Amino acid sequence: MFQRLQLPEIQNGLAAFALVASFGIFVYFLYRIVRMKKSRREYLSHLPLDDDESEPRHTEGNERKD
Amino acid sequence: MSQTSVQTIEYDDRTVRRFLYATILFGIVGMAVGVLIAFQLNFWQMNGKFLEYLTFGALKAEGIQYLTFSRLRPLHTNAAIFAFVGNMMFAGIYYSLQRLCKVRLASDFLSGLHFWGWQAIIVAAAITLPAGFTRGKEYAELIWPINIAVAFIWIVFAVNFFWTLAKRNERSIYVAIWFYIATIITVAMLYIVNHLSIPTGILHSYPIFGGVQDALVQWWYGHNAVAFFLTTPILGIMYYFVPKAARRPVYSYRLSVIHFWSLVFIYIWAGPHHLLNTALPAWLQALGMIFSLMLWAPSWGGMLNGLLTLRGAWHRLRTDPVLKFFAAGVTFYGMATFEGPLLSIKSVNGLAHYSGWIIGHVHSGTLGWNGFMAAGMIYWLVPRLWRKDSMPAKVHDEQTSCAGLHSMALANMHFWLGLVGILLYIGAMWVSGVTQGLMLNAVDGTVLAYPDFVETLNAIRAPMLFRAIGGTFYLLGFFLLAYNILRTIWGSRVVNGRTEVTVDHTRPQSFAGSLVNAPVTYTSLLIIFACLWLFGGGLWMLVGGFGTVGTVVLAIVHFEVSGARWKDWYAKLLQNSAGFTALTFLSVAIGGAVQIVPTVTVERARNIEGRIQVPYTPLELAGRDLYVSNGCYTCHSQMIRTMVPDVLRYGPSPEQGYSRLGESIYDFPFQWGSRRIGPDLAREGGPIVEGNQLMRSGLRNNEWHYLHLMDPRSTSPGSNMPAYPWLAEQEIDLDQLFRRLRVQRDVLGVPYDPDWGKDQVAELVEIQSLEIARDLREKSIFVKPESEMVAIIAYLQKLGVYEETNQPRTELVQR
Repeated sequence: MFQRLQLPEIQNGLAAFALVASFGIFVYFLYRIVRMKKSRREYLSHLPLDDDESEPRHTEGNERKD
Repeated sequence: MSQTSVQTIEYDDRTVRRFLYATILFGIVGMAVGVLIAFQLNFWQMNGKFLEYLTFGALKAEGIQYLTFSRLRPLHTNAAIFAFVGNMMFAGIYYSLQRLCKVRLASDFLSGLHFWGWQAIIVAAAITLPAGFTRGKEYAELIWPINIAVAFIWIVFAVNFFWTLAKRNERSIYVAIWFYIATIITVAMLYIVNHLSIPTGILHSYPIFGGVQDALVQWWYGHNAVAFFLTTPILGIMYYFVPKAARRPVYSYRLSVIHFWSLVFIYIWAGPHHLLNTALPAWLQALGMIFSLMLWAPSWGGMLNGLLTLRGAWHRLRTDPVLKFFAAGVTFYGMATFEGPLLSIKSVNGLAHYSGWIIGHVHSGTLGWNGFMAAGMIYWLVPRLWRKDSMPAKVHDEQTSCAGLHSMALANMHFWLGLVGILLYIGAMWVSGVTQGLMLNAVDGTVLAYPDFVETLNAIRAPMLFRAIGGTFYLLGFFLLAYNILRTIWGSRVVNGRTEVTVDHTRPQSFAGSLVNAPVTYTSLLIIFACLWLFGGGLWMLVGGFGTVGTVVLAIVHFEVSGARWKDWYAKLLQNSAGFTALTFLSVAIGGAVQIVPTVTVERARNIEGRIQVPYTPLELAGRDLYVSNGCYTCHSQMIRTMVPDVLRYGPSPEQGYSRLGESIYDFPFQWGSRRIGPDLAREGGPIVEGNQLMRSGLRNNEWHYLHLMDPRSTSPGSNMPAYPWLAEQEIDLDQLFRRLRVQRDVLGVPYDPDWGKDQVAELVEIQSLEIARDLREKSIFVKPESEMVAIIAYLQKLGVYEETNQPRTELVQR
């Protein structure tokens, strides 16, 4: 449809900027995203510990044949 | 306003227990086969001859085809990956998913179907692989009917998983589940694409891709099988079980966000690092190397997050075997993910690729990371899923998180045996790989310093033996685990976890609400503009360039102006599994699309680099199928890399240079290989011998090949190769051959004569086989012309035969 545009003088600079910009915005998004509320972060990170079954809770009447 | 009620839930732990049994059983099988094949590399007699010694000569066997290294190696890798780690990951996922979602698994029927279906697949693999039914692609060897079964059972797993997720009573999705989601969708995508095949019969098919396309698709799959079958599910298990065992929350939730998204986005691009210095286009090699190096950061982020979760619990490592295994497992993850990018640097890869170093690297991942995480998880789970009166009431006490286990001493001994085993193994493989790599690459001007390949094998005899001993240590340790678990559950009763949950009946975050928002919109726009910039021409490129810059600026301004509301976006996303899954799929699909789509849609006829392979004759095709079926690719490559030592060693003349794209264009599947336990065979063949119609002779004559296959040490003293005497007895199947040739011609585009019928094919086979048999008879070797031996010799004599051309050969590449 269109002829490829040739910009030999600035092609490398453009490519470098594309890489840096893409990577930069990716990191920036992540940076903003991880700034969740502290209470929310703490809640989420404690999820596995919420249901701590280190001690089996129902050993009586909870038997099943495999 | 929320509406809530309280319910008591009993988890489906029967499914977890079943998968744990299977993990232990297939762990032993997979590792035992690994130890056997490690010894086969030291003692060729272990390929079946040992049975003659064991029976004092009653059973005469130069070798047994079902026990050869080349047939058992795929069995070992498939058993270790899909049977051992597969079952372990299903156990861990089902246990943790229910607790994190506070809901029982969605369907008992689907759970049962998943379990029994997966075990049936494993049994089918254990029968077909030693029998020689294979697709000839690493970790993708299983034949097409089993592929369909795998896809079906994977869908059953996915339905059960997402259905459970949909029914959850905990709004937010914990980080472990993110990794499980990535596993399920990515493995499905990879598996389906790499297993696209055209069946030629019930037990055989050809992949739809050939040559370089097949190579790229295979290693996109192969690399990401490691990433999304052996890594992401285990990371999920790490994020659940390590905090449980340490009784501490994950060190940094923020780090886990960065770890997850950067890992799933970057990992998928790194596949081409398995094909560095080959005929693969340079832009793909560069992408593979760069993204592999970038992987260092997220991998180590995850490792540090795992290890730092143990802060404050380090002292318990002295007494708790579970934490010992977890700490060592995560450390091995760090080691393996440091080594991987290192090996992906093109110059390092030139030394290490095709050598034992790669095998050592893989085993530091599977034995250290997967195996130790599996052991820690099993020791943690068993006292919680099986109980008996003699067990202490508290499973988690001051000393350990697995009180009630039959023997802590045995668990500790398992740890130390396993650790010593791994260190012996990977240490030996470093020495072996570096030694052989240096010897094979050593040149004095234009002369190879070690021209004899067997010389390089002899130099690594000692490390190869230590490797087998290390593997034996590891296996012994795993036997201790099996005994310990057996004694723990002997006479016990099974226990299913129960919990009371508050069920929230209010409407969760909608799918659209989780996706239609500024971060997703900006990211999507950026991807679209960047693709236009990189791949578009003219105006599209300009639009892409300005669009990319504009999006970056706009996004930053918008972020800063809108401020605090953005902080909640990710938390909201975590409440919608469909939106989260869609974004995860997008992240993994981009890398695949950029690498795979251009490569498989390109016009093959224009990308042959001046050479085009001469198609195989029917007999040569039969021989090629036998080469694949016998797993010769497990030891022999067919790829002369763009390196001086490779060209000098395998050229065979320097003028022919390295392998070009067109030289393997009709190879379905490609056979570039990944390890050189024997020499490269890319240019083994040669021209038609004068006075013959079809018989060729290459670097070595027919007599040499016959003697070598019957007794490799008669022609190559010191060789490790097993003997293949049954090839002289078994006959090729002409009906089958015609069906296969027809698929190659009519579907895959190999330029065979469209008028060839069954009779013409039979006639061509007869002409060529009689010429070879006659040639052998002149050397006093009597072999049936219709034997597999003659077919495989015909194939070997054809390897590397191509035509020079300066024009795109569209008439020769019909597809």
